[in-house]
Amino acid sequence: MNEARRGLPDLGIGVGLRVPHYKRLFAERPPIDFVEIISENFMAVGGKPRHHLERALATYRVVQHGVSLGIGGPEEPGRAYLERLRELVRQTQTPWVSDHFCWCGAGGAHLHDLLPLPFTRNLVQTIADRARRLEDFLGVPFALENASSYLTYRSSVLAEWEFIAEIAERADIGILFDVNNVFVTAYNHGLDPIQFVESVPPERIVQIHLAGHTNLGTHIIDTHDAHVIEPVWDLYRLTLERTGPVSTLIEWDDQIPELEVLFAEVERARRERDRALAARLTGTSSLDAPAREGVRKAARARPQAVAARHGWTQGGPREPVTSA
Amino acid sequence: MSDEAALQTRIAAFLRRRRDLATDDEARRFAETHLTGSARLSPVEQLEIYREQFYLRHTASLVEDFPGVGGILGQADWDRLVWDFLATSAPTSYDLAELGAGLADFAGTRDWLPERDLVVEMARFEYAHLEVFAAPDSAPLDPAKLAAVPEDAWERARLQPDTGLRLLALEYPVVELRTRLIQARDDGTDAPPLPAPKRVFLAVHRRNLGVFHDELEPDAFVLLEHVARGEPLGLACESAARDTGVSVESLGAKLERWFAEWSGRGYVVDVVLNAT
Repeated sequence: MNEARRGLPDLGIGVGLRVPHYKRLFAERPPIDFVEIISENFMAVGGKPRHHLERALATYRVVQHGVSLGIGGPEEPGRAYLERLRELVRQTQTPWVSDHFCWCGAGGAHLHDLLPLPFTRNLVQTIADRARRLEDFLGVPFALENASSYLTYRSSVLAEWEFIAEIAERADIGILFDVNNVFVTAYNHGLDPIQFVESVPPERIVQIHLAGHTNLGTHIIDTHDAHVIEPVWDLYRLTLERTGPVSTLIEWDDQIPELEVLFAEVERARRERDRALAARLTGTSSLDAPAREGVRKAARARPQAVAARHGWTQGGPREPVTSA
Repeated sequence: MSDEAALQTRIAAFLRRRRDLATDDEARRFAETHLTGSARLSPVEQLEIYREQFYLRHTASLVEDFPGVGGILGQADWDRLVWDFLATSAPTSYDLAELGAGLADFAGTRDWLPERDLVVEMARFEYAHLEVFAAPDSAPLDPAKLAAVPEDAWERARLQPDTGLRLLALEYPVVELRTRLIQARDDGTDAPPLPAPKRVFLAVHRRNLGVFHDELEPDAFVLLEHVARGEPLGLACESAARDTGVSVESLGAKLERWFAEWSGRGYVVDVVLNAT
């Protein structure tokens, strides 16, 4: 399979559809290449979530991204969840649907987290089988995203990039490549972020995620609550130099800023993308050896100031219940 | 069970423990056996990151969903209640809005809980908001269909309730209390005094995308409960008369007004005539 992006379209630079922006987005309808919705936020069948989804569909190209599949968990994803997901896919006409390389719970408990997987051959097979069946069931191309992680297992026998690549190849699915997660994981586990980017099969990457994070010194939490940091922009360009143009999404789920700030981040992404694609055209790279070493060094560094701990939720705040 | 599944099952159990795993010898031994640690964190510190996030994420969700319960209890008792709840009752749905589905029942079993009856009722009331908020949309009652119902068919007609309707008979005036507790929280002022018991009959209902809580007359509430259970109108009136001690004739005299109110507010969305 050598076709770029599995033949899926490049939608440009999009943003995550988040509750604090609804009012202005639906009133002012600013031009946005595409919006990404968190599937679970719209799987309820009525009321405001449905109303706002219909408005989003009438205004923007919508792509679906999930956070609850738990494809690598001890149990198969639940049938009721999958059927509702399929209904939503039909409603949104999303060009692809994605979730994460992770597990979300065990023994019937749902922990609402993207828990890291042991990178074993057994799980490669399990996840590839499930992903293949899921893509058939949903009827649209399916992709999995590399998640940020804060722990690693002694039982892992593959590098994360090998694990991802092997599953994508065996299942013949796409990769949603989160460049910020590459940096977070590299920082947390002492990995080489450049090697990570350069080891993922570029033709499998159907979408890219960019976000900010919270550096606690001892580790980084993937909070999606800040600007994308410079080393992540570098990794983004490096990724695009390998893939060519790929739909890119800015995620901002906590401490959500005004639209102007978000749109400025979109414009920054556009400039970085243009720079990367220009380098690709000439067969060069925007990252010379010192720049690459700079990214590696950032992933090894300890910051002077660290942020405070706080909780956060994938996909931002839920729709508030409006009482009358 | 595969090795991976066994590992995940044990981790899931550790993540729901209340105390810091770094102070838990069993967790430390487990982590050292199965996790690598990093240059900056020990294995158990890595595991603790996920446990802390589990509690931060879920307590934040419950704070958002149950401001009235939190306001009644104050920080210390609220923390104790929700941490006990999360450690005892694992979340089972992908939907965080369903996280508090069992909170009222759970609170009812906590002997130490101050103002327990009021807390339980407030939790029921607040969860009803969540249930109706995203319930399936219903088409409004069709006036033409209503007009076509023969006069002699009403007795066996079943009224279809809106999926976004919950009926609550409560022992405390929770509506006003909740409003005042949220106001005090937002203003940073002292919580208002807690009210004395007072029976209230509420319809929590979503309309125009907002959630309303309408106070109903007691006999109207009882009749609507029977209607909502699917009883034909004639039988529902008899059941309500039996439950309230009010005569069927007296209920019947008010029925037209009540029905107009219920259909106007959208409590009733269809009339089904296939009952025998």
